[in-house]
Amino acid sequence: MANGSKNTTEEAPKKTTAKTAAKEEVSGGTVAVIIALVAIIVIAGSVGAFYLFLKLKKDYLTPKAPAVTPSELVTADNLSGETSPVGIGDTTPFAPPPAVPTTPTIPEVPVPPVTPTPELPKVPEPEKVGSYDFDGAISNMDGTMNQTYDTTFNNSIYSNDYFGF
Amino acid sequence: MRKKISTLVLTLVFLVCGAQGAWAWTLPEVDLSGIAAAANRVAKQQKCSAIRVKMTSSANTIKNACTSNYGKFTSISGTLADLISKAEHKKYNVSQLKQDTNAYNDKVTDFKKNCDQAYAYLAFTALANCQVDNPDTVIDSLKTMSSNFHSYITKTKNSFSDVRDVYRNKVKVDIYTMSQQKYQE
Repeated sequence: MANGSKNTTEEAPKKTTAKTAAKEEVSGGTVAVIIALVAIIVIAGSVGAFYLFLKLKKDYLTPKAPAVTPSELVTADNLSGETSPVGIGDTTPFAPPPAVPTTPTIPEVPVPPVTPTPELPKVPEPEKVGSYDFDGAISNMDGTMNQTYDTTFNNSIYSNDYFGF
Repeated sequence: MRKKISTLVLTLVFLVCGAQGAWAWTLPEVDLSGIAAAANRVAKQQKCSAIRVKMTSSANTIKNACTSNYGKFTSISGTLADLISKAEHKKYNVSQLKQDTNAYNDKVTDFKKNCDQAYAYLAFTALANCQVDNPDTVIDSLKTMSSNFHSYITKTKNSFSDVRDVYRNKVKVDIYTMSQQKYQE
């Protein structure tokens, strides 16, 4: 009995050891699985975050058509052309007008900086003027001036001797 | 008989001549100095009148010369104003010509002023009356007037020369200089 119990007691640790070993083997596989899962989660998260970023960018960074205010809605009673804004309590507003297609934003083309050209020394340009018959005007005035005479103002002929004093 | 008649006639002739001579001795004495003074006065009146007529004629000559010359000077002023206006419209630089044209117009104004003074002064000779007033007094006043008139004529002649000088030495030079400015149609 004692041997038997001894054997029994001896086998027990052996079983325990095998279990532990089996547990250790499972733990190694689990770790590998966990690592794989974590990797998958990280990759999926990254992809999800990327798509979320694209969605947010599309929603908030792209310009939208201006929202139609309730005052611009037209009720069925006003189809004749009378325009009366729909109040808050109106129940049958017409559908808002179709959204105006947003024009795609044209990316700004960067303007290359203009390099200032070195200024050349300015040559004073003579003022541009029209033509005029100066010679004709001078000839005309000369002719008139030549008709004047100063012999009458010769003071010697107005002396006392000239008058016969 | 004939001797008696001849003697009688001669006797009568002598008697008549003697009577006339006796009557002549009774006439009042003629004042020869008064006659000389009167003759002198007439001579002075004639001289005074001659001087007055000559001076009045000179006054009219001056007036006509002033009117004629002033008209021609102002005609040139008008031509200059027209030239400046048209040249300015055609973008010529007319600043210098404007300045000298103003100087020319000032000289023309001076000429007219001196002319008027000379003519007005000489025109007083027409008021002298050689027949009523003392000819000596009138002649003396005309003599003084002539001397003063001399200075007025000198000023008038100088202002005439000034007008010509400004026109020939400044205005014409400005026009020639202005005509050298570059032009385009």
